[in-house]
Amino acid sequence: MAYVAVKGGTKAVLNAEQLVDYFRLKGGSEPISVRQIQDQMRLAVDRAMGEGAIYAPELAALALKQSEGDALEASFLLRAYRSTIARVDYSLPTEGVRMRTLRRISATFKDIPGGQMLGPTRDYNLRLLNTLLRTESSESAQERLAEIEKLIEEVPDEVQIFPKVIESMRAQGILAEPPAQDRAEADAEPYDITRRALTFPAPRSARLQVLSQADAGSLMTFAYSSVRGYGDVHPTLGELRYGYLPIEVAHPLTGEPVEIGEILATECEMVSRVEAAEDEQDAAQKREATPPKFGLGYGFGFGHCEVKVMSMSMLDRVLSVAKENSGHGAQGPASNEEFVLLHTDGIEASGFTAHYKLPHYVTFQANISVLERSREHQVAQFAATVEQRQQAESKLQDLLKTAASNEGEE
Amino acid sequence: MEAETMQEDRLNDLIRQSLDQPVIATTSANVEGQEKATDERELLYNFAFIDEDSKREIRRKLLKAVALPGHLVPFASRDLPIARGWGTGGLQVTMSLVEPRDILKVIDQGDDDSVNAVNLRRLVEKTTGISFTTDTTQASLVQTRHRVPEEPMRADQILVLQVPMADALRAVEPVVERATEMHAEADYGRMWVYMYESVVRSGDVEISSQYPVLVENRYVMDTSPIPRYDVPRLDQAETLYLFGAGREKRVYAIPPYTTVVPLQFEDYPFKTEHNAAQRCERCGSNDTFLTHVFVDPKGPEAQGRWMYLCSDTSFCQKRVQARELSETMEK
Amino acid sequence: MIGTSQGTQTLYSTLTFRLLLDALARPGKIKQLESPQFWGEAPSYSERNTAINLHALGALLTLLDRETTFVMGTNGQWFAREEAAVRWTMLRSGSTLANPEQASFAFFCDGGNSALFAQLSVGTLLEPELSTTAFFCVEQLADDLSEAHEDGITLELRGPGIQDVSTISVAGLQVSTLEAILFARKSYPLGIDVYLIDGAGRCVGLPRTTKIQLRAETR
Repeated sequence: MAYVAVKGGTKAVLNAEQLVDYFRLKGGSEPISVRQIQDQMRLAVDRAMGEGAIYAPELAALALKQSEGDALEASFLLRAYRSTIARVDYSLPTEGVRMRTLRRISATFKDIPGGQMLGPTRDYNLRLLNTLLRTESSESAQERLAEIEKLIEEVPDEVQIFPKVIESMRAQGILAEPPAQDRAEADAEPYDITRRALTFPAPRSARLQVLSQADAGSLMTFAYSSVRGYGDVHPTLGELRYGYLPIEVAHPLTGEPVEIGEILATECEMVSRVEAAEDEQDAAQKREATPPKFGLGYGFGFGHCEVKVMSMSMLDRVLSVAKENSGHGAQGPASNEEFVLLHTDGIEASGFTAHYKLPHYVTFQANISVLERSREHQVAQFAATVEQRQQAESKLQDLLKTAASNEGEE
Repeated sequence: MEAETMQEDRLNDLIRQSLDQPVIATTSANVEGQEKATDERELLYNFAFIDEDSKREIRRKLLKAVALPGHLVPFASRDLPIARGWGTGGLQVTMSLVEPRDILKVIDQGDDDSVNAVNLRRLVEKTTGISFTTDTTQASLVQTRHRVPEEPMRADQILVLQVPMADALRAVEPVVERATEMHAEADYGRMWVYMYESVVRSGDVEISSQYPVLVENRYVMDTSPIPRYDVPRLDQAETLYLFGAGREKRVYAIPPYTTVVPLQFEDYPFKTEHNAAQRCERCGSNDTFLTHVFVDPKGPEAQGRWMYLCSDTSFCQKRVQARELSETMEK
Repeated sequence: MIGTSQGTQTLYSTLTFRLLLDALARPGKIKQLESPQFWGEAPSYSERNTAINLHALGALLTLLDRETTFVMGTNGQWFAREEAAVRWTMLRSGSTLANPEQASFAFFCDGGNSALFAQLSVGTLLEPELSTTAFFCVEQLADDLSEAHEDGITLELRGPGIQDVSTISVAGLQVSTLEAILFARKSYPLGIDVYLIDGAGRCVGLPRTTKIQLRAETR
């Protein structure tokens, strides 16, 4: 089998690979186990899984180890892996209400059916560095675990299902139904962005898929801009949940739903006022026909990713509003669906930004030749201007001389 | 000197190792042995990496692309082990085409040895077991970034071009939805205005690469960042040109014997960068695309200097060898 | 999917694609398709218990999967879902039958029928690539007119992929079908892309860009 002989380029690439490994190991510390990353870097694992768009915590931990903690690089590894796996089946749609919740809060009402449950959150931790972590050992970790376990009361036998806060809103008649087109799309097969390229305008199922696997930081930036003033949406957190969601498929013979496992996921529902139309006539008609209600924005992600799902739900709301009011980026970039969906995928964005490191000397050579021609043109133009001015000046001189001689004659 | 050869030997060992014991098991190129091999070995990855469903989708889209010269056909671009923007589109096209008897050449800026070409070649090597070459005339498939090879390609070859931007209208209309409508209605007025404005601004059309062309008098197409020098090669060619934009998720094609005309004005006709007075300082050619390169000094006394050299390194090497051969024969 | 050797099938799919691609890129150039032995016997259509052209059906199968749809017909009628040939195709590809207006692929077991052909999609201005691709099983294809079938019609082809002009002879394609093909592509970029495949596996591609002229018969 012929292969191109090892020359300068190949050498460089091979050397670079050796150096990457060298930098990872030269500190001399004990190699981290994949298990340790999976257990103790839970949130990094969840981020890698979410953006890698594949639920595989152990592989995500491996990817993080391989990429020295670079979450984007890790999610890239996972995406590439996902491309190679054959698709066996599609799960049945599952509802967030069936979640075995570990954490569940709402900002809309002080108390909600089922209660507010803080669960594992750092929200109320004081952000002070804990130097005790430096001296953590297996023994101290075991002791700490035992300490916490003593505090856990008996676990109830039945799995407690918490109703959705938005259902209360629906019952109160204050939650708007999605627009007709969305409902029609909701009944149809979801648009599969891994099987069909995205085109615009995009159906909501496509939008939600793109947002769910988008880079958390990008979503945050857009969401922040929209609530900070570059948007017309004032959201309130309807409900945020984190817990175990059952996954079901249809039995191949009987067609009955069969649970094949659970995933940890975070779900968010944001509500915001459905703004009346700008046109006064329309608004009056609207007020008569339908009372103002709250619209829903939805966010979902693998693992524990609160800021991401909150950002996603805000953006979902902003984009729905923009569509209903037919505005294209009317209120800022976050309202522009194409802009948001095309620029928030971490793998695409980082890949293309980084590609500027690739050689571009052919196009640069071409640019230089165009630049030189532009300069020549500029020089020629300047020369032409100078000549024009000189001609004008000499004419002026002539006129002055003639005038002076005339005067002299008088 | 010794250290250098030792290092080279070590590197040669490494590359042989990675090919003999691939991280990824591949199907053997031997067709008869394939059936047996499938039973014996557990295939971790499919031949040419991407799964058959993905290949099928790309193939369906490529057929439509050939039936619609210059038109952008969307495809569900898969995530690959190579980053977006680094050739995933071209790679997916190549992976959908490649069969065990193919001989592949991969170049970047015209150079087989460019680090990116090396990397792309490695992925194909690991997942197909096909043969490679640096000789354009020997290849059945050529994957390229930013150049068309100097040696005219034949009917039994295919050129796959890596494309970053895909839509020629991007410069005047960044919104994809609107640009698609413009193509649908052949509404290219704004493109002409853009070119006119550049003439007014700088005395001539300012576009240096990704030069827009009109294909079969219907679609305005982005030629990818090949120099203007290469644009005429697309018109009435013998070979099939396939363009892949992975991140943008589009493929397009120029079939052979297709009319491809650069956008130009009567009084500002299309010109290439070619300067017949400039020669390659290595092989003496004045009929190739040259780039300005800083060449390091050979010895401690010599000084490095800037030289004009052929961007198509293999072709340049051929000419150098041919000249050396004729010189030896003359003696 | 019915189990066959994965390796052989993968190779066949790849080689067939290269032939179909070249056929469409060079309209009028005759390509020789392989027969997919691993599929065993071709299904027949109940009408005349005629076995379907396996070269053509095999080629179609390489492009079908659960993401696409097809229609199949002969003698002026579309096959129903219960038709053996349809079931055979669906089982081996994962693809499903669709309405002619929406199908991505159309397979004619004979020289076609203009009325059926007229139901197929020509695409839209925004998405001309969504048009159907049609396969016709013809009797004989020849590029050397001396070898042409006496009932054959002679077509002169011009357009992208062809240097000047290409001439082929086709036996088993109705002139009315040819007219339907031309009608479908009268407003470029709309149009239906066509493959003609004869019993010996010879294949010719006629993308919508190809201008086809029927040469008057001189006997």
